[in-house]
Amino acid sequence: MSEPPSYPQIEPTTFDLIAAGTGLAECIVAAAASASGKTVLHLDTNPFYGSHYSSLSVPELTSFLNSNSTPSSPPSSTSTTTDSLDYSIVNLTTQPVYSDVEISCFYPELLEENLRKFNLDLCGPRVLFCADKLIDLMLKSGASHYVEFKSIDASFVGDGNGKLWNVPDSRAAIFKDKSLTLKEKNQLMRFFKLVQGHLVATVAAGSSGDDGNGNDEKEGKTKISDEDLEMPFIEYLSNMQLPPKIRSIILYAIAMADYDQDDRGVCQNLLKTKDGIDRLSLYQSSVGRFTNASGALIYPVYGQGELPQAFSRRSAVKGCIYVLRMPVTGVTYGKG
Amino acid sequence: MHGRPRKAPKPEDLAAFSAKAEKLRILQSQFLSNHHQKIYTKEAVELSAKLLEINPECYTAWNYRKLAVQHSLFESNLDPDAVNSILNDELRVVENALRQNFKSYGAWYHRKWVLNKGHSSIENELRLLDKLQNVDPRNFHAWNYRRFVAALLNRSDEDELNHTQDLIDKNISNYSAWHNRSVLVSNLMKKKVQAFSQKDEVLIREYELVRDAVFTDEDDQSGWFYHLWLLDQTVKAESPLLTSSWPAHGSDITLSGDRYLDLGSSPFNTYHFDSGSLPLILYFNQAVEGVNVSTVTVSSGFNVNKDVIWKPILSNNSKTAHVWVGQLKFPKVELDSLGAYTLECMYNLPKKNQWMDLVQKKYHGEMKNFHIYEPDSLESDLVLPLDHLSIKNEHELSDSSWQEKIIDEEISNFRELLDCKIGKLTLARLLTARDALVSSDKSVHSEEVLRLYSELMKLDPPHSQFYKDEHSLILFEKVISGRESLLSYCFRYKNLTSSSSSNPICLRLNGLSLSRLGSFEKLLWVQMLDLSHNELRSIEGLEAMQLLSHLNLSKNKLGSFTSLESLRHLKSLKVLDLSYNEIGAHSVDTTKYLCSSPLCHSIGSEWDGSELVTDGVSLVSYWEAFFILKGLKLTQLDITGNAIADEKFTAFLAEVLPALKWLDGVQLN
Repeated sequence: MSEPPSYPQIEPTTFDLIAAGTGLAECIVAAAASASGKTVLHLDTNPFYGSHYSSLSVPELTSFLNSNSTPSSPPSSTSTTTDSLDYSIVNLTTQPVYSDVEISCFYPELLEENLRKFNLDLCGPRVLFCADKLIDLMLKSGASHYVEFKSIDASFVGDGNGKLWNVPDSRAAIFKDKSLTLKEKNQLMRFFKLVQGHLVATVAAGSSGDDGNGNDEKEGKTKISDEDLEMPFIEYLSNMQLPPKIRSIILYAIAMADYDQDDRGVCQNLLKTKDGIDRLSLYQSSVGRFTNASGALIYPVYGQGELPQAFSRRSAVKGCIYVLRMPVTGVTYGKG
Repeated sequence: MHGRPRKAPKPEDLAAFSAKAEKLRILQSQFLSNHHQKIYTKEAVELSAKLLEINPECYTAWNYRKLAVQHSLFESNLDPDAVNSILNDELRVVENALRQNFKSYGAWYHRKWVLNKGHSSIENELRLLDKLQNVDPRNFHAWNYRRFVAALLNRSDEDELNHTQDLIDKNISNYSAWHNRSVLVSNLMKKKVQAFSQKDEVLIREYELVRDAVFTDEDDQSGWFYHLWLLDQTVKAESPLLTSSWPAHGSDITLSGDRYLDLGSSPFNTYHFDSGSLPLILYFNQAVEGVNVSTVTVSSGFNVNKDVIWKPILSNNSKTAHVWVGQLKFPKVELDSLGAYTLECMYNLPKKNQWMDLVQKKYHGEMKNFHIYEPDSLESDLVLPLDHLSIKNEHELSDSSWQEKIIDEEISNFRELLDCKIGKLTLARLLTARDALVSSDKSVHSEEVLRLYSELMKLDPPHSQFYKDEHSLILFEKVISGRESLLSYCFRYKNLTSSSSSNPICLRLNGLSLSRLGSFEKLLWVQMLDLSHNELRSIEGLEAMQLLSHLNLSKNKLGSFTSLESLRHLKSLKVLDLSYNEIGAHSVDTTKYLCSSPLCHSIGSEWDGSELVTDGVSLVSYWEAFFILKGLKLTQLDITGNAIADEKFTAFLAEVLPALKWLDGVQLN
């Protein structure tokens, strides 16, 4: 088998780990391996980092879609495996992710004018909680040095009438919110304090070995009962006598529940109180984690694609070799 | 910083400390030798900077730098560039020192000194402050300095108010910001700056803000204090008012013989005196000063003696007092009024020979000796003056409707927050304030307020004594307000039957579980008062009742003589029952935590060392009792049932109270 001449030779030729594709997972593995002193080769067939996690400009996006929507160069020969005495070769083919791609542009001038002002996330924009485990990982691995985040300034939740409500997600936000009545402010904050108390009591119970209902109860730090923890979150919120508006703020804008929790017919993932509380806990520990982030959520300034790149830069610093525009066509197995 | 736990230093820390101390000592000795030799070279000045950046508390070094600055300013011939660079150097040193210790008085003071030279940019200071206040938003040095900078910059109070708003928005627990806000709002209202000219509008805005804070987090105390301040601003009278007086405004006085006075022939207004003078009592709603012949105009149908000397009844060393007493020498009679509030009475003094000496009869605080005072048909109109004892209504502010509106709004809001203590407490305060605004004597909400305080006692046991005291004040007022209620507590001493209309009425408020007294302005007429079987720990404020001749305080919780300080001012007191209290039972005197003006404040100025030893009786061991009792002319005293009462104390009492005829029911020689 002769290598296509367009691909240069890579030196050295032996590695502890060869990773194909620079998606987020591959980049994290590469960063971890190179940080622990392994030799790593990281390849990607695309001319950019990130594979399907990338953030692309519009021209990059169209060319990416075009090249990925039709089966790329069908296997040239029928011989998918080649056997020799010492090893066997398995040829790899890539399946296109997209089919029937149709690209049209309604305002070419407008687009042309603003082309450089934005990127598009291939896997859709996803914001991160400040207390997300990924953030911890980036801080721990040092990948955080290579990416800049911006804070999400506000979040809103829509009601049935198409009106957007500001999400009061902290004490300061509840205080400032002008749309909540005094009673609603009080109810929402009390619920937050109840959750806080539950979390503190849980941590205390974990460290002291008792059930957490002992000394902590005096300070009002009581755990939510196991029975309550197992019931649907929406039911628990109703039991706490929170009005519908507050319920939907907590469910959809803070606990980020996916389906309409009110409609059992549609809802495929009914959130349990336990999980709801965990999500609230993540949200609350996110608020104020970084002084320059005003809310709970952050987002890489230049898009999601920054995340795999940050890890790959980290691994490159630690000695990992990166080769882009380098497809992997086959894998050889040693015999015996 | 707040809420940081103190940790024990580790061994390596201790080693680092001693190394640092060694370094500091060397620096300090070098610096001091420079200082003493007045060396102001660049190196010497830098050395002081180095010292200060490690230890900003070194005052001498700051002073040295001031001398050095003056020296180099002189050398520079006031060339603007050189001056700037010299002063900027100072600011930089201070900034570094503050980074080391944010709370260094010396550093902050030095910075003020530099800025007062007037050559530095002040705008920079606000930026620095923002940075520092971001780190510690409640640092009082930074707040002080901020006020200093704001004044230098001529920053408007509105801008500063917005700044407090920003900080409160960030964190509602910022006490300092709330406090600065109260100062700024007061200033703006006083100056009647636009948007602050209408007091009611300002207060409504502020109520809205603090309501948001209190409802968002009812456990956070910073909002409570601001709310309390706002409520005070809402109900506070703009200027002092004469709340009540004795003899009542417009009352007639009848003088019987030369020692008996009958005002309007009502037993509530009879007063007998044996000193040849009659006290005139003025009760103001706030402590005032400057009551004298020129400010109080006295008018009567009589011979007016212009020489009435007005004396404040002081509970501390200030010159202001709620209560002022003037002695009216007979046979001249006077009337009194202060400033704009003219008190005008006509005194009538026909001679009657109805004088009786109550004082020499033994007084028993027992129920059987009294019969309830029931005005018969003849007398009923004589009781009417009771309602006129208070002259408050006549001086009511013309328009209190905005106050009522604001407080009603707050009441309806706080009814929504009744499941926590601050909600209940605030509602109780609001309702009390609301009742005080209504010009009638009836307290519409007193039942509800009493219930709220009872609930609070159960809900919040650590502070139950406070709620109990508030409860007592309301109960006390309820009991003595309104004719029906008051009359049911008025008794007449049975044995004194010679003249039914001239016997003083005894007000018996016993067995009501009272722990605190109030509403004295309505009780100026009382001469015989029975407060036995209550839970009093202090009688603060009782000094207003200047006519008191008989006082029963037995079976209360009075713990010491200091808690009886008010007695010092009751010069008419003849009969006093202190039996079965806790005087002498507590080794630690906690009165100072109960009274706003404990005795210890007034001690010293009046203490005369020569009085310490009298006939071998040690006054030192009873100095509190001595201090309270020495000016009184008691003829009868009951002290039994107190830990302090023993033979030694009896001997002491005989020494201090030469007029005493009865002690613990036993006639003295």
